Amino acid sequence: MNIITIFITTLITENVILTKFLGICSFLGTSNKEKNALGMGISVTFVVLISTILTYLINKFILIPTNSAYLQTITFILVIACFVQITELIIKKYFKDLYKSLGIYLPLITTNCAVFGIILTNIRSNYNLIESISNALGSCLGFVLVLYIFTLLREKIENNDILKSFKGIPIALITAGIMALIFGRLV
Amino acid sequence: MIGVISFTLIAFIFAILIVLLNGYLFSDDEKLSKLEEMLPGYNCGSCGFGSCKGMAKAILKDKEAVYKCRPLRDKEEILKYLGE
Repeated sequence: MNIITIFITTLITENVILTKFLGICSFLGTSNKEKNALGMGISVTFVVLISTILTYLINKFILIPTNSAYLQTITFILVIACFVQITELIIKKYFKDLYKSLGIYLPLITTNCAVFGIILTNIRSNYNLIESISNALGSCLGFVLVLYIFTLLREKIENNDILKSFKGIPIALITAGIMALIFGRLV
Repeated sequence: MIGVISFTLIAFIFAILIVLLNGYLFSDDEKLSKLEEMLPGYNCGSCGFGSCKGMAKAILKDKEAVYKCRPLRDKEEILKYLGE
């Protein structure tokens, strides 16, 4: 497949959140403030991009030649966890406010299934390095885009009159559902 | 077997990397809080740096700044700590 096709498909029609339903936890958790959403999006993008390159190299030059593809899952999780730690250290040092407001969701990027999902898709679809990077970039930008739109919508909705039983997460889930309908039809 | 050994090696390399990065990023912070503990803590401002926190930062940059602190009696202690 063409690089640009992969990029646009993963950005819109096969969006990580709205059509593959990955990474819902941080999607709902960090969409309360604009700043949090952008901080989360950028951290996820950083982690995914670097882990994509590293896992590709490790898979091609260490795991496949030594006939140990059964170690793929644990090795990828190791790489992701390591880079989440590094991101956390950098944010803790240089962006203290963001570190406080992201709270538990920052170390939880480790278990964000979107990150692992993107990396696993790269390996399973036999993408080469450039295709993998374009897939990772498209998926992450899709993640940031949807997260950002969703945050703006949530901020607007929360100022309105809503039924008491729909306040908070229920109305957010309905909004996410409508967004998924729209994104699925954007072909 | 080779796969397991290489996996262990990768894990080891990452562990060392994180420890080194942690030390590199936060060694200054540790020193700052230690220095602040050694200073009198009156926040008198007679040194010209505003507070003991500002003084600790100035000392980290230049050792000689310690002589500007008037209430502090044992200046040698701080110089010794920085010399190590």
